[in-house]
Amino acid sequence: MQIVKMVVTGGFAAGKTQFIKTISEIDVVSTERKATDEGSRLKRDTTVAMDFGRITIDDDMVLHLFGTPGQKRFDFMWEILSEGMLGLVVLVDSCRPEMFRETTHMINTFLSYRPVSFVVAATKQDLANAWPPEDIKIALNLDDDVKVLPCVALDKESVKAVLLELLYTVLDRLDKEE
Amino acid sequence: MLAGSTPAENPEKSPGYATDGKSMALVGNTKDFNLVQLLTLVHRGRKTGCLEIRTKEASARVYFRDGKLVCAERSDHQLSFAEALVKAGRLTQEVHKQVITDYGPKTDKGLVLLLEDQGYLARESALDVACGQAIEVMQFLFTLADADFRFDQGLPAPEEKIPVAIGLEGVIIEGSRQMEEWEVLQEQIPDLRMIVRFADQQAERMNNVQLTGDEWKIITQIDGRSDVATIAELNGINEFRIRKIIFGLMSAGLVRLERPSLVAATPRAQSDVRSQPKNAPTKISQRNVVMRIINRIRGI
Repeated sequence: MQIVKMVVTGGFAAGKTQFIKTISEIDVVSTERKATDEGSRLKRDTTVAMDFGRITIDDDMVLHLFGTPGQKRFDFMWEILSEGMLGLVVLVDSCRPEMFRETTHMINTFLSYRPVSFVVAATKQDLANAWPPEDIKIALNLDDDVKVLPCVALDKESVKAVLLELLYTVLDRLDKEE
Repeated sequence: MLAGSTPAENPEKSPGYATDGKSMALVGNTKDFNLVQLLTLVHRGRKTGCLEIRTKEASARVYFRDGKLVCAERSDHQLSFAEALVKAGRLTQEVHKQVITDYGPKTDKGLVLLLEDQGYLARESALDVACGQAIEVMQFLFTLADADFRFDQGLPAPEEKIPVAIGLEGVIIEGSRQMEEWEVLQEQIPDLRMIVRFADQQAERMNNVQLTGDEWKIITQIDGRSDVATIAELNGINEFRIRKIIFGLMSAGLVRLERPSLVAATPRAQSDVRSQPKNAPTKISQRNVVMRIINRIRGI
């Protein structure tokens, strides 16, 4: 059985757990604990270890989705999680511009481990105060070719669209490397 | 022992004390107790002594008297005092050479006395340049987020140096601002090996911006191949300044940065390539894998 890994990262309360939960065929395995730091104002529980979801591709292959821990003090886990990943989804909370800097930091950190295809999903696009993806792209100072996609983590079609765009990005990269 | 000092407003973040048998030194790392906190300690305690800051790449010594900055010197990349006078336009290259030829090498203080006697330099000018040098060292130190430090109480500045007396209030305020700025600059330009390229339609945007001399110098050296570090080196610009200039040009939409190609990736990435197993998936099999996942996700 071939296992393919994708990593879902993003700042605190960006929607990582929900994103995986929406698309996974199994109940997401996540080790949620009561948040004890400043984040607790925003979210009662936060991911302190990791989320894990699975999609069976066919008889010979499964896709594993890993969500990174939401709090900075667990960032040592990022490098471990990034080992051998096919691609990276970076979630950014469209309603909290104060998280943009941290998101930029996360992208740079992951790319420093190894070059990888990634897309940015601007979550909570169903909320009134959500920044549009094109503005978020500027705020995150991303290259023109990086895709910033609108996303509602509760909506399966929205999550599917993000994953498909990531896979198209991986294909493009493979083409360019040939 | 540090005179009456209790730097422990936050005990968890306090530096520690080390003893060499004679006196106790304050030792620690700027990750835990940063330079602004250290300077505040020196300022409030009106301390006299030497602060040594050390990383793997660089080190510097900063001397204080009664809570004021007296002199600062880097072990690397620092101009001699005579060179600093020339760079600041207070002394011509010819006079500098002449003085060296006639009188031989001098200490900083000896040089100033000589130049003063010969009528080439006013004492105020010398003090201005010495202040500038000390501030420049401090600016550099504020960019070191992870450096070991040691503060030796009572150690006086070397006799041969030009002593100044810079109040630390301004240095602390400027340092706090610079540290915040540095954090942002590091996030925006995480790797100095990134290649500097012109942004699309930069020519149109150039019509509407006013550039400084340094910015022009950088602009003229963008060739689509040179990285940030190379351009900085060519222009003799320090890391903080080059990041600031490039960030400014990026913000104005004039330039963009590109990561170096996979071939020239980080040592870590190179080792990953080397350690790739022989049966690593080929491009074709990777493409096949991706297509299978796409088909499956479309059908969910």
